[in-house]
Amino acid sequence: MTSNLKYPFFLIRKFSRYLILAFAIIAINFLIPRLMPGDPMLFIFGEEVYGAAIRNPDLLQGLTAKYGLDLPMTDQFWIYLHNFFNGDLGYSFSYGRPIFEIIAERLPLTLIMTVPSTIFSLIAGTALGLSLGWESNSLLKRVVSAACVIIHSVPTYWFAMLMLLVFSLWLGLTPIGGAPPVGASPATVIQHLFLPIVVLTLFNSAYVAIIVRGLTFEISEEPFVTTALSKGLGKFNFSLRHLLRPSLPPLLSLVAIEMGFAFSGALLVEIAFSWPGMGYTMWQAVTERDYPLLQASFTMVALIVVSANALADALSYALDPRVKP
Amino acid sequence: MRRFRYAPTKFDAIGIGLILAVFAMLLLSFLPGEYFGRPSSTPYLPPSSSNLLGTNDIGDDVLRVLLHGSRVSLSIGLLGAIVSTLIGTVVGIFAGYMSGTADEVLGSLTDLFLVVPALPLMIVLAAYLGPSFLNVVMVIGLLWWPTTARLVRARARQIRGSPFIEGLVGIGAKKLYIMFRHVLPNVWGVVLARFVLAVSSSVLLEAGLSFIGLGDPQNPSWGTMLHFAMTRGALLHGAWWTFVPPGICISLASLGFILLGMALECRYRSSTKSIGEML
Amino acid sequence: MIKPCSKVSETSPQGFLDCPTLLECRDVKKRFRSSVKGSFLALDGVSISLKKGELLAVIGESGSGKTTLAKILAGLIGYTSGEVFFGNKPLAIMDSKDMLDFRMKVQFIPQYPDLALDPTWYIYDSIAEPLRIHRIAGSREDELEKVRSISSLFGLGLDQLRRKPRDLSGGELQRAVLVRSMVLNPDVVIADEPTSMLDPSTQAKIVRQLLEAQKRNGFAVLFVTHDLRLAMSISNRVCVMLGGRIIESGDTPKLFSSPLHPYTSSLLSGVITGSEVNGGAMCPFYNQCNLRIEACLVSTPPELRIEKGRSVRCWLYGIHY
Repeated sequence: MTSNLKYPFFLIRKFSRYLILAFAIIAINFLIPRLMPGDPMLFIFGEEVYGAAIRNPDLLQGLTAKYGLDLPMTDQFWIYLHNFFNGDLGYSFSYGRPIFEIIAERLPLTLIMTVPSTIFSLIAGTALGLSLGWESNSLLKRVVSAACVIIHSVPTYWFAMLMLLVFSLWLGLTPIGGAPPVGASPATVIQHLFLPIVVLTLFNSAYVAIIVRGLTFEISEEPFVTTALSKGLGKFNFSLRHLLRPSLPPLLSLVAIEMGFAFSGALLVEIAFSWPGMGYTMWQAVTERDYPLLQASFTMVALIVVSANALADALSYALDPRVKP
Repeated sequence: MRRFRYAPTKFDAIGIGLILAVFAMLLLSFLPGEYFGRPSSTPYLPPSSSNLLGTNDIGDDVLRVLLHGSRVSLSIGLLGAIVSTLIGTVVGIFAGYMSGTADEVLGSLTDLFLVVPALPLMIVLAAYLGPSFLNVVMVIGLLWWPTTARLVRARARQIRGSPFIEGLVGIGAKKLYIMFRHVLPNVWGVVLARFVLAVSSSVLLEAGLSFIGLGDPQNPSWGTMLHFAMTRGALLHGAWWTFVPPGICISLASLGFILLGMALECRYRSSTKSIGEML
Repeated sequence: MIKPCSKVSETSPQGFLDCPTLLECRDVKKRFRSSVKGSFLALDGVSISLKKGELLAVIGESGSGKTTLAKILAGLIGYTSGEVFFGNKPLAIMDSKDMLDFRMKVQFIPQYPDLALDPTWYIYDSIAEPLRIHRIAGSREDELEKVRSISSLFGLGLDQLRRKPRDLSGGELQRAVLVRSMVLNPDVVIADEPTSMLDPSTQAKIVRQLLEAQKRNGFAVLFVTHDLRLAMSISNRVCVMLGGRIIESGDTPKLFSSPLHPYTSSLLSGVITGSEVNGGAMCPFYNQCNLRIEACLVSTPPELRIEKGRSVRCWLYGIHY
């Protein structure tokens, strides 16, 4: 493997792309309320506060001064950045708390759900994809492949509702939703987490499986594969060593893109399970028209997805620096 | 574009079959009300001979709502796909043919939209614009074009390298002329396949937006039915008939278009071999 | 041979040199840069001029730069330095009106017929296209008449016209490309190995049709080829290219009977050299040359005019000839 320091400019250029993306997201967060049709103040304060501010000139003045709304855009942007990096993400009227607190509480809950399911789905999906990629004509493989495609057309959150119906309502095995109370026993926690993680894992593995199957299929047609197999190398060993290693980089970048979709899907699943994470928060924000909260949640989600992409990119680069960006 | 030698495959058949089934629902929705169960004053009646799919929380016949919902879901699906495919194709052709700064700028824009999670962004925008039919279509169309753009761009670049493009420059054709009278017909295969796949994604996206409460309340779609089921306690009541059918419809519609789209894509497969692009 | 412009007679074949120059380039260099392969100097100071009514053959092996030269003269690709003139006006300062005129009067025929025409267009439309672009088509009937008449001169009938490129054979396609280039009545036709992708009998047909058209309309032809015999039989003048430079040029009978540059002689005797140098000063033929001297390794000889219309780039001919 060549030294990773061989192309310093290349590295910088590559990852500056992500930095630019992150900055763009933060900038979008600033611009959207000011560009949407309607009074920007409504969007920046949220409906309730806006209503109050209209009636109370002092409040209005105070808020205007705080956000610098009477200043030109560039100055406003500086204030915004200053606030943002100091942890001031605004105030949510529907919760009556600073947004930063809300997100700090809710984000970990989303992660508890998504991180394990991502890991499980990577393992399960890769294994499934590898085995599916070899021969393509047995009936079982056809059916499983078809199932993977079908899973993609099914709305994840609806499937979650179905699962809740069966396992919670009818069978009474799992709670009907919500997070486990603080200090609950591990058994309770697992009970609460079980369905969400299973549902998410199922859906994400299908996606990963399709990708891995495609890659395996492509590579399995290469001549060097038949030679290796004819030498008696077991398929499993072979797969691990020869297939996985070279295809890991493109796999990782595809998985990174998939994480974006997976994260979006997870948000809606949270709603179905009444799981108080970022998705649930966004749902409440939509219902209450709490724009600042909605925007801040979105920004956090977007930043996480960008970081995940950057991470996956970094990993794939670390594994094989020759892969083109 | 190779000649469309119609060799029917299983995917085509299933896909078209599903699509037809779903559109049949759309047509059925135009039948006068007497064919369906009467609204009842009792909410959450399970399916019976008078209400084939039972009633929902306000006593409406679920089958009726379902069929009417097909109009909304399918039309938003189609319109959203049309808008996003249109934008994606134009952007893709420009970026692919005009390389250089135009390509860089459009390429970066495309990348931005690809990394930023689409549905959350749509949710934010739709929340600002307000829940309405048109807004949902716009939001989907304006945010879903990058996948199409990427593929169209790749194909347009390929075509730009073809000798006949040079010949066209040689006889005096201008850039815009070449782009729309020559490059476009040659990317058409990709565009069509992408359009069909976009319908599938559109249907799912609309359902997601409606589920979170941003669908048009005047025109309830299948997603809106799921939203009401969630927010009005159908799940707790065990009234599965209010949310299982709409979910099935969404899945069938989406599946039908995906299968057809995949079949089309296999046929017009260009050298951009990324399997992940299938969705 | 072809009927030359009026200043020439059979007794003074060099008369071409007194004919007006239609298209020429001076000291043109072309460097290709690619992020993958680095930079590559395809043309290293080429000067050529094409006179009215003549057929100038450009011969050389693959990699010598002849296609690049042809495309630059046709205005299809740009050049790194030097100048290209069409009728005394430099290409670089032409406005869009001049360019349109240039595009009408200078036509290019590519080497590969299969992708030379848009595969989604009917042959008829592809042929009529130049007329439509330059708005000389007139009514539908006029256009139809024009296209039909020119097509039939080249042996293309309605049956081919109403099809698409994938239904035509290589020879028919190349003829269609030829017809398309004739439709605007050009002054210059630049043909880049138009026959090398076809079978021998079709090759002969196409060449014959081209020559007949030239006889009828009097346009000048720049014919790029690696087929020496062909060049010998159809051209008035020849240029020999090697490693991005023109190493010898002159009128056909003289050049082929008494070649000046060692490379030319070896080409004529059928020896394949396969030499190629990336724009360095060394002569690309150095390794195979029997007559090489030290100077050949170190510096590029300038172009030397031996006599009117005859020049060579070789240290053998010194500077004081």
